Amino acid sequence: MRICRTILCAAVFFCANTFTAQSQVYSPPPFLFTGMDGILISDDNMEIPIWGYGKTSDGFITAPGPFLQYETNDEVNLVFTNNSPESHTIHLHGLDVDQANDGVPTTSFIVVQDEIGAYSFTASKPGTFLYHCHVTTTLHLTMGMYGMILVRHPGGVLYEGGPSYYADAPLLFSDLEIATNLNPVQSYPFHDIRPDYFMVNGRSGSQLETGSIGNPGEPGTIISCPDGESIALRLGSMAYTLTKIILPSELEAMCYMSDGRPVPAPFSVDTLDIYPGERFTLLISPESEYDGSVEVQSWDMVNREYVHSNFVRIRDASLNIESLESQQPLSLSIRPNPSNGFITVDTYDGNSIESWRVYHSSGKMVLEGETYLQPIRIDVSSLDSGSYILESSDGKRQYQGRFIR
Amino acid sequence: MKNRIRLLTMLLLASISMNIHLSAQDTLWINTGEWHQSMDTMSVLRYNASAVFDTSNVALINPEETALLLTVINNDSQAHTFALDGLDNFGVEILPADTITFEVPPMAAGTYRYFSNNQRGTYLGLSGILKVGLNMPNQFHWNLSDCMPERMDSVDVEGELLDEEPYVPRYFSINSYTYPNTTLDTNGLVALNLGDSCTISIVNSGFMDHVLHFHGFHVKYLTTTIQSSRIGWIKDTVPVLQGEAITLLLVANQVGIYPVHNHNLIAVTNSGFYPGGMLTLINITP
Repeated sequence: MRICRTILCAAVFFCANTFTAQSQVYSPPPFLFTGMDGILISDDNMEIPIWGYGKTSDGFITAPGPFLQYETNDEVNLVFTNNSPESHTIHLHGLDVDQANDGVPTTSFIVVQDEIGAYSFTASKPGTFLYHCHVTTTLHLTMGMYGMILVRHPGGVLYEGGPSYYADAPLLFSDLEIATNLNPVQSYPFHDIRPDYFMVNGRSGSQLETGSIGNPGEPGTIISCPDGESIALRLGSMAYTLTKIILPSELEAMCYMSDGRPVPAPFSVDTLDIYPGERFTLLISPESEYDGSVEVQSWDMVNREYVHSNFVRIRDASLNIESLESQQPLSLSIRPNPSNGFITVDTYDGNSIESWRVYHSSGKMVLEGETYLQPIRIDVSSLDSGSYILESSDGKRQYQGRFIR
Repeated sequence: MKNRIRLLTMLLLASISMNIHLSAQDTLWINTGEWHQSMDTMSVLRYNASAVFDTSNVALINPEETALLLTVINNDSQAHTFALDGLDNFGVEILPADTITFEVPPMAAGTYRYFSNNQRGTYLGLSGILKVGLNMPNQFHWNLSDCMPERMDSVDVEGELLDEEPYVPRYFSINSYTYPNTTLDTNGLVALNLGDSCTISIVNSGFMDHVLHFHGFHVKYLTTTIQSSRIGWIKDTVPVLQGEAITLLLVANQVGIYPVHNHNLIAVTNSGFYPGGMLTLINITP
């Protein structure tokens, strides 16, 4: 009993002190924000409500949240504004931060509506990490409040003295129970949550067959690998299921790291079990002209039953990857998102948009126009509530973005 | 000269033989009792260190490579076995109201699971931890379990598992405690001074795999009975497979209070309500 009382007192002490210290207004402006009004479009066009993190500059949330990238020994000050009616935090999963920055409400601090929270830490170890909200965690995770953190080591190596590689391919595995997301207020009890929608970087099924590899929360999942090079698969799970990865032998996959630490003896791998919260870094060196898939299986943790497979395409870059890539539309910046008034649309590459069209998620075109003023502003107040796709062109390249009305 | 060598060899063999057969001694009672959680009361079985029922199975401790002379007293109405992971084909039957004494052979240093492998013992929680040759002054242990009260009732009342409905566990425990009561468990709550080290012996006595995430720390695998390729790995998220026993090393390299919890997040609930279940704390003081 004495131990319990000590801990409770300590928890209250830390809570009070850190909350005061962390709740001041910070400058420069926050990098992230949290919201509870997001929509995830499933591979069969179902609109699934999500909560999540977003970049303040983008104005919309995604599941997973923004991919955060640092370099070994970076001093990080991660700031977010809570724009939602519920309290949230950021737990820096695996980074071994101190108690004050741990993101646990009872031992660290909580960020209430309209408050700003800041987390300071040193990214002392390279590797793959995660972040997520630690408020009512069982619910806030299935709602989508998580993302991946990558700490790269300088010099193009996985870690000091480790192997060199060509590029990173982050793959964040997650899932959700659709009924819970549709009605989170009535979602108790939590012990019987059984996911029925399974994602890689927030995409599923046919959505994984479009676009070159992007970051978790961004479009594109096909991994292209130049002949003779190695790609670092940065694998992490925020799922409620066991993720089982099936790697074809032609990829010559080797496991070098787990949970942000080198494994004592790197080993070749053809099947890998990733439990919720675990991370692995594999190097793959596909055979010349390889074009195939890594199977991502989801297994029920309670009954150890197979439930679903997604496939991540891996392709030799020499297989017309340049022309295929050039056919893929580039992302648009659309803000605010969601919007019931004007949206401001811009390209990320600085090119000017000449024409644009807005399609409802059903495929029906609902608005179109031409413009020479950049960035363009479009009045979407006349549209019905729902999910829309904005397509535009600069005369040479195609651009695409999603927004919610 | 030859005689002297022969004599020395015999003395050496005798010495080795004596070391192997040096026996530690212990006694276990198989007790029946009740386990109260939220609105459920479950009949359970436990291996205890006395004839008085305690909600936690006792952890046995034995030196490395030393036989253990063990007496088991069965206070239950049915026969049970004393089985041990890590020793092939090892099992001793103890009849109802009977007492039996037997020798557990010498074992390598590590953490092991001892258990009753009949249905009644399995479902009512007769499963404990054996720590062998762990010499650190600071040692903690976590006996993980999950349960569905309806299945326990079926086994206890009907004598067998009648309900074939899907397994939907409602309670997830460490040493038979669920959070926040895990913070009352001195065997489970990791309390250390800055700079100290400890071993954590973990056994999964449940019906599913579990995965423990450490806030604030990475831990090193010292031993495991299933995932032997992971020995030496340093991780913050540790899967503990059904039936597995693991020894971890934790170095207290920063002060503060940090949770350790199951990252299969359905398991940090009590009857579905968060927070609860398989969640405890690490408390490092300056």
